[in-house]
Amino acid sequence: MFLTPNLGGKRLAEINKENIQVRVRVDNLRTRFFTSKGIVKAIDNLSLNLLEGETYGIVGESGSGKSVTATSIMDLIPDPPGRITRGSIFIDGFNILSGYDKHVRIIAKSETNVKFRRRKRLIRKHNYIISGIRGKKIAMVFQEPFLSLNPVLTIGEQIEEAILLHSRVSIANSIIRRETMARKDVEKFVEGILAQPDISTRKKMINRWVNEFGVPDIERSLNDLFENSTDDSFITEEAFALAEAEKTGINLDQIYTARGYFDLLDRLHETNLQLIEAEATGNEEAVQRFRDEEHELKSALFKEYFSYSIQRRFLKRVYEKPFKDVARRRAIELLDLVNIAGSERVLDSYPHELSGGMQQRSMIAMALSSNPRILIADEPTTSLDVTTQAQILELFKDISRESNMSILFITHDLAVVAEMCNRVGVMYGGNLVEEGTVSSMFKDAKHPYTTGLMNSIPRAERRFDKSQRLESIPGTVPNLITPPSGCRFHPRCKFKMDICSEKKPKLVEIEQGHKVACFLYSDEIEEEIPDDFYVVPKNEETEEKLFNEAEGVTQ
Amino acid sequence: MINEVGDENVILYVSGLKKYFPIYGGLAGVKGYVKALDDVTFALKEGESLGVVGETGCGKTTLGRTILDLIEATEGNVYFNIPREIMRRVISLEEKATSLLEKGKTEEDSEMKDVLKELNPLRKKHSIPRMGGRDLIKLRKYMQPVFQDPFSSLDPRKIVREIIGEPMKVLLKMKTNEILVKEKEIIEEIGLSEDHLYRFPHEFSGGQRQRIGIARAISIEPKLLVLDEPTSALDVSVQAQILNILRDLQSRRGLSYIFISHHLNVIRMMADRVAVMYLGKIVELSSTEELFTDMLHPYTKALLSAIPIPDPEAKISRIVLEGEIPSPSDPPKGCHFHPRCPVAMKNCGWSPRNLSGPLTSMLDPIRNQEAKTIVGVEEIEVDEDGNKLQIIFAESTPVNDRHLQTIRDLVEKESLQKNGVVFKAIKEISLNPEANSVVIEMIQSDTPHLREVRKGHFVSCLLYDYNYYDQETSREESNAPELYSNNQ
Amino acid sequence: MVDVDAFKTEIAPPRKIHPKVEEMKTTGKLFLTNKLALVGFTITSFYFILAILDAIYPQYLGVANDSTYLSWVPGGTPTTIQPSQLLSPSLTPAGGWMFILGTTFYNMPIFPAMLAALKFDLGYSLAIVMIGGGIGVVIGVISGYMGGIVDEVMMRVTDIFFSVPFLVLAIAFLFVFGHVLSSVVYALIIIWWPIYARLTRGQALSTKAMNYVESARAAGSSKLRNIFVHVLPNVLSPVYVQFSLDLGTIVLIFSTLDFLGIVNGNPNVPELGSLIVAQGNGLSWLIAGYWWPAIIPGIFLLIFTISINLMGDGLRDVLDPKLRR
Ligand SMILES: Nc1ncnc2c1ncn2[C@@H]1O[C@H](COP(=O)(O)OP(=O)(O)OP(=O)(O)O)[C@@H](O)[C@H]1O
Ligand SMILES: Nc1ncnc2c1ncn2[C@@H]1O[C@H](COP(=O)(O)OP(=O)(O)OP(=O)(O)O)[C@@H](O)[C@H]1O
Ligand code: SF4
Ligand code: SF4
Ligand SMILES: [Mg+2]
Ligand SMILES: [Mg+2]
Repeated sequence: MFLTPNLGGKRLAEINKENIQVRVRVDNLRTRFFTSKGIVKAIDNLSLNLLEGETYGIVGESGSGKSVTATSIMDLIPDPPGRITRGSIFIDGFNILSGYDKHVRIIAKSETNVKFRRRKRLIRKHNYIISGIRGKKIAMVFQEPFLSLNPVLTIGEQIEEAILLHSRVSIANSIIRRETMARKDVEKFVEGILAQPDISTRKKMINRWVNEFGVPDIERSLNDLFENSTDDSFITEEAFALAEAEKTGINLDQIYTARGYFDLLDRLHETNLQLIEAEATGNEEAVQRFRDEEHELKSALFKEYFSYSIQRRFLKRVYEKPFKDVARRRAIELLDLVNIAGSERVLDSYPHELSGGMQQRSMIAMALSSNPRILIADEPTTSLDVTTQAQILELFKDISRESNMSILFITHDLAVVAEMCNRVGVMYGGNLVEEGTVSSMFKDAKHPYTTGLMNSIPRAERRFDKSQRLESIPGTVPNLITPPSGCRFHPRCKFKMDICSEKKPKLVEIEQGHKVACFLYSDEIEEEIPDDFYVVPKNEETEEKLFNEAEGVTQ
Repeated sequence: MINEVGDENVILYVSGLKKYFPIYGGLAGVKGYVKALDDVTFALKEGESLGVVGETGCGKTTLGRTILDLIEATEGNVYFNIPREIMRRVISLEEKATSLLEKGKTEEDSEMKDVLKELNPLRKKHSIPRMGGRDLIKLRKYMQPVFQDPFSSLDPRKIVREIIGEPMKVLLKMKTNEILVKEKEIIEEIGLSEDHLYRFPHEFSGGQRQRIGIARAISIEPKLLVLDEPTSALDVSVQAQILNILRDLQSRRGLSYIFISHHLNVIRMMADRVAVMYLGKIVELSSTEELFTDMLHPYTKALLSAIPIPDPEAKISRIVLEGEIPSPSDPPKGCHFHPRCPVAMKNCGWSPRNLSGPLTSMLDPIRNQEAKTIVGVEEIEVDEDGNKLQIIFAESTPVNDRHLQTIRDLVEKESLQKNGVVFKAIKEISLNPEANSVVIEMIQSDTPHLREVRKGHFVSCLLYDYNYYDQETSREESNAPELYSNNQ
Repeated sequence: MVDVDAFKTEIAPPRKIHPKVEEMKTTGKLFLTNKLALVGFTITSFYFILAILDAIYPQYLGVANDSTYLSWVPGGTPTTIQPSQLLSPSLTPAGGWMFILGTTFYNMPIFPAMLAALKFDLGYSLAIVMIGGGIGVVIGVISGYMGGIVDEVMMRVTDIFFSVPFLVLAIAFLFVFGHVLSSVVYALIIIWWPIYARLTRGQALSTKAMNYVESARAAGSSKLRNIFVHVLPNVLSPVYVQFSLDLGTIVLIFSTLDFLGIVNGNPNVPELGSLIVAQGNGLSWLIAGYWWPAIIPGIFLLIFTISINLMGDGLRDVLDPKLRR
C-alpha cells in the first residue's frame, strides 16, 4: 500500500469545527427520478452521519434506495432523469450541494410533465469541483462490476488511467526524489527507523519511505536489512547502494514541468473549494482573498498550459512513459493487494475474460487507487467466495484502521454486516427506518421490517428439509412513483395500526444510539414537506385533472 | 469411480473435461494457457442438484459454459441425455480408460486399444464437444443456463414476450400463437402476470428479471438447468422467493440442477451433492450433509470455516490460508493446493521453484547466523525438469565436504520448523565439483486423484489416498524411493 | 403456484399499445422537448419535403427536364451575360414567382435551380450514407462479433481504406470515371464506410460480451441470427446519429468540391456549390455588389447544415442509453 498524506481535508474541516469527526453528513436528502411514467421518489428525507474511521452498513431490500443514496453522496445521479432536489451532503465539512438548487429549475405540471431549465455554466463548474473531490477524498465501488468496467479497454488501462488521474503530482515527486536522492536522505531515514523499536511500525515506515522515494522494488531487501542488523553505518551503506541502483537517469526537466502543471491544477481546485466555502459563510474578506488567489493561479496555469501541453503533444511517448511505468507498477501492487493471482495477466485482459470475482476485485482496486479517505462500497463482495470475501473484508478493515478510512458499506448479506460494520442503517422505500450499532441491531431489532429481514436469512446451522420453504416478507417493495401514504411499510406490516397509513413515523432515538421510525415505539410524526417543484394549479378543476392524471398513470 | 450410480438414471456425465484459454502476447503469439478447467469428471443423476463451490476464478462458470457448449472444450467429453444402457456403458468405458491412463498406459497399449475401439464411436456420437452442430441443437432443448447478472442477461431491445419465446421459436420451431399460450402459462408459474409479457426488461427489478431468466430457461421444458450464481445479485428476501421457485420447479418437473454459488448456506439448502473446485479441478465431491458435517479435504475445511455468521458476537475461527495464491496460468505441481495447504506433506508437489526461495533465505548470512560459514554462494540455479537445484559457488571458494555437511545440517534444522515441509521433500544433497556447486535433488512429487474414500465421498488429497499410504509406509521401511518414483 | 401473494404488486397499468411503439413515442416526445433539436428537425424536414416535391412535381417548380441547369435558361440557349443584366430578388418579380430570388448566370432563376440542386445533393448524400453506412455497419458488426482472425482481417482492410486520403482518391476517380459528380460519389462511398465499420465494431464488441448474447446461443440461436437479431439492434443508436450528421457533411463536401472547381466537368449539372460560384463569377460579382447569386444559395446551404447538426445532437441526447433508463 502507498499511503500519501491527505492535504485538502484538514483545513476545510477545521473551518467547520463542528464536523471534524464527521466524514460525511447527509441532511434531509431527497432524490427524485423524473421518468416517463412519473416521478420516482427514490430517497425521501434521509439523514445519516458517517464518522471518521467507522464502517456504516446499509441494508434493505432491492429497490429500497441503497444505491441511490450512495450515488447521491458521490453526486453521480444520472441527470436526466435523476436529480437531488433537497438537502445537503457535507464531505469533510464541505457541502457538495451548495448552490445546487440554482443549477436547474424544475417545473412539474404533473407527474409526467416536467420541464427542466439548466444553467449549463454553473453545472460545468460544479462538475469540475466535484470531480476533484471525488477522486481525492471519496471513491466508490460500483454494484455491477461488469457494467461499470469499460468492455473495450483492458483492466490495466483502466486502473492506470484512474491512478494517473489523481496522483500525477505524487508520482512526479517520487520520481524526482528517487533521482535526486542523496546520502543524507538515506541517513535520515535509517536513523528514523532505528529509533523505532516496534517491528510492524518499522515495516510501515519503510513502506511509506520506499513509495515516497519511488523505489518500491527494494522494500523487501530493506526489511531484511533492518531485521538482521542494527549497525547504522552498515545499513546506510547498503540501503544507499540499493537505492542508487534504482536510479534510471531520466531527464528530470520534463518531470519538473509536468509536476508544475499538475500541481497548479490541484492548487486551483483547492482554492475553488475554499472560495465556495467562504461564499457560503459570507466572509467578504476571505472571498476577496480567494478570488485574487484564484485569478493568480489561473493566469499561471494559462502559461504552464502552453509550455506543458505543447511539449506533451509532440513528445507524448517520452513524457508519458515515466508516469505510465509507475502507474503500471502501482496497478500490479493494487491487484496483489486485492488478492488477484497472476496480476500481470489480469492487467492485460479485457473484462469479459475475467471471472466475476476478478472483475469485482479489479473495481475495488480501482477505487483504492487514489487512497480515498471515504470509501463507498456498493455490494462489493457479491461475487466472491467466502474465503476471498473474508480476505477483502480484512483488507477493508486494515485500511480503515491504518488510515482511518470511513466506509459506507452497502450489502444484502447480513452476515457480512455483522462482521464488518460498526453501525447499521436499514432502508425501506427510500427512508431510513432503523439505525443502530451492530450488536443492538442483531440482538434487538425493533422495526417490523428489520425483523422480517433477519428471518429470511438462510442459515447454515439449520438443516433444511427439501419441503421446507424459506421465510420471506410477503409482498414487494413499493412502487416509489406512488409510494404508500404514511409509513411506507404499512401494506406489508403485521402490526399495522390505523395511524400508520395516515401519518409518517419519525426516526427517533429510543435507546442510546438506536433509532427507529415506527409508531409501535414512539408517537412522533414526521412533517411531510411537499416537493417544491410542482406548479400550483390555477384552479380546482385543473388540480383535479392533474391529480387524476398522476393517479391514472401509476395505478 | 462413479460406478456408484446405482439404479438411478444418470442424466449428465462429464469425463476428463479440460478448458485452456490461450494467453496472447510474446513472440510466438501465445504465451501460455489459463487452465480454467483441468480434468473434471463427475456424474449427475436425474432430478438431482449438484452444488458447485470454490474460490473465485477456479473455473465454475467455465465448467457450466463448457457443459452447455457455449465455449469449446479443449479436451474431454460431456455426455448428456443419452439412453440409460448406453450411458452405463459409456461410463464404465470412460472410467476404464481413465484408470488405464493413470497407470501410465498409452494409446498404443493393447488393453487401451480395446477400450478405445469401443469408446471412440460412442464418443463421436454422443459426446457434446465432438458433436456436429445439428445434433447439438437437438440437445440444447434439454439444457439451459440461468446467469448471475440479471441486468446483462436480458436483451434490452426485446420485450419479455420475445425474450421468453426465443428458445421455443428457435429450438422447438413452435408457432407464434402456440408460443404465446405457453408463455402465459409459464409467466404465471413463476409468479408474474400476463401483462408483464409486454414490457421491456428495464421496467423490472432485479428479482423479477431473474425470474424472467428462469422462465425463459424452463419454457422448453429442459432436463438440466445450469444456474450460475442465480441469486447472488439479489437481496435475501427475493433470494428466498427465487430459491422457493427453483425448488418447486424441481419437485414438480424433476429437473436436474447444476447450482453454482458462493453462498454456502444456499448450497446447503439447494444441493443434494456438492463439488468443491480448486484451480480447475474438483477436489471433493460428496453428499451435501456429509460435506458440511464431515469434510475431508483441507481446502474444503478452510472454505467452510470462512462462512460468515449473521451474528456480530459470533467468533469465527477461520482457517487462514497462507502462502501465495496460485495463478491458473501457472498452477503449482502435484497437488495444486500444496503451497497454501496447512497440512501439506513432503510429496504433495514441492518442486525446486518452491524450494529456491526458502533456500535463499536459509543461506542468507544476514538472516541466518549459522549460514555465515558458507561464503561465496553465487546463485541458486533451478532445474525444473531434472527436479534439482544447484547452489553454485564462486570460483574462488571451491566446494568441499564441510560445505556439504553444513548445508545438510541446515536443511535438517529447517525441515523441523513450522513451514519447513518443503525441506522434507529433499531426497539427496551432493557435491558437484565440476560445476563447483552443491546439488540438491528433490523427491518425485505425487499428484492426487479424485478417489472414493467413503461411500459416495470423493476426495482428491494424498492424505486420503490409501494407495499412497501403503507405498509411503513400505517405502519408509525398505528405504527405497525408486519404487515410489517408478509408480509415478 | 408459487408464493403468489408475494408478487401481486404491480408496476404500471396494462398496456393498450405495443410497447415498442410506446418506446418510440417516448423517444419522440423526449426528442421534441429539446427546442434546438426540434428547430433542426423542422428545417431539415422542410428541405427534404422541398426536394421530394421537386422530384415528384418538377413541372410546378421548374421545367420537367432538369438534369442540367440549362432547362431554366430563358429561351433555352445559354448566353453569357453581364452582371448588370441579372435580375435582383424582389417580392414582385417580373418573370413570375420563379424569379422571386433573382437570377444568376445565363440569367437563370435562382429559386428553381436551388431546388434542383438540393434534390441532387440530398439524393447523392442519402445514397452515399445508406450504401456506405450499410456496408460499414454490416462489416463492423460481423467483425466485432466474430473476433479473432475475421476481425483482424476485416479491420486491417478497414484501416487501409480509412487511411486513403479522400482528395487523392477523388481526383484519381475523376480521372478514371471522368469529371462528373458521380466519380466523387464513388470515392465518397469508399471513404465513408470505414467510419461506420469502426463505430459499430466498438459497440458490437461490448454488446457481444453481454450475457444475453450467450443465453441466445444456449437457446440455439445461430451466429448469423445472433449478429442480426441481438447485436445489431443494440449497436444502432450511435449509427443513427452519425447517419444524420453525415447527411449534412456530405452535402457540404459536394459543395466545397464544386466550389473549388475540382469537379470541373460540367458546370451545368445542378449542385449547390456550383450555384454559389455561379460559373466562377460568383465572387467577382459579389465584390461588384451583385450579392444574391452567391449569398442566397450560400445561406440556403448554411441553414441546412446547421439544422441537420442540431437535429443530430438532439438525436444523440435521446438515443444515448446512458441518459435513459
Ligand atoms: N436511473 C433511474 N431512473 C429511474 N428510477 C431509478 C433510477 N435509478 C434508480 N431508480 C429507482 O430508485 C429506487 C431505488 O433504487 P436503488 O438502485 O437505490 O435500489 P437498491 O436499494 O440499490 O437495490 P439493489 O439492492 O437491487 O441494488 C428504485 O425504485 C429504482 O427503480
Ligand atoms: N474468455 C476468456 N478468456 C480468457 N480467460 C478466461 C476467459 N473466461 C475465463 N477465463 C479465465 O478462466 C479462469 C476461470 O474463470 P471462471 O469465470 O470460470 O471462474 P469462476 O469460478 O466462475 O469464478 P467466479 O466465482 O469469480 O465467478 C479465470 O482465471 C479467468 O480469467
Ligand atoms: S409504523 Fe406501523 S406500519 Fe409502519 S412499521 Fe410501524 S407498525 Fe408497521
Ligand atoms: S494432497 Fe492433500 S495434504 Fe497434500 S497439499 Fe494437497 S490437500 Fe494438502
Ligand atoms: Mg443497489
Ligand atoms: Mg463465475
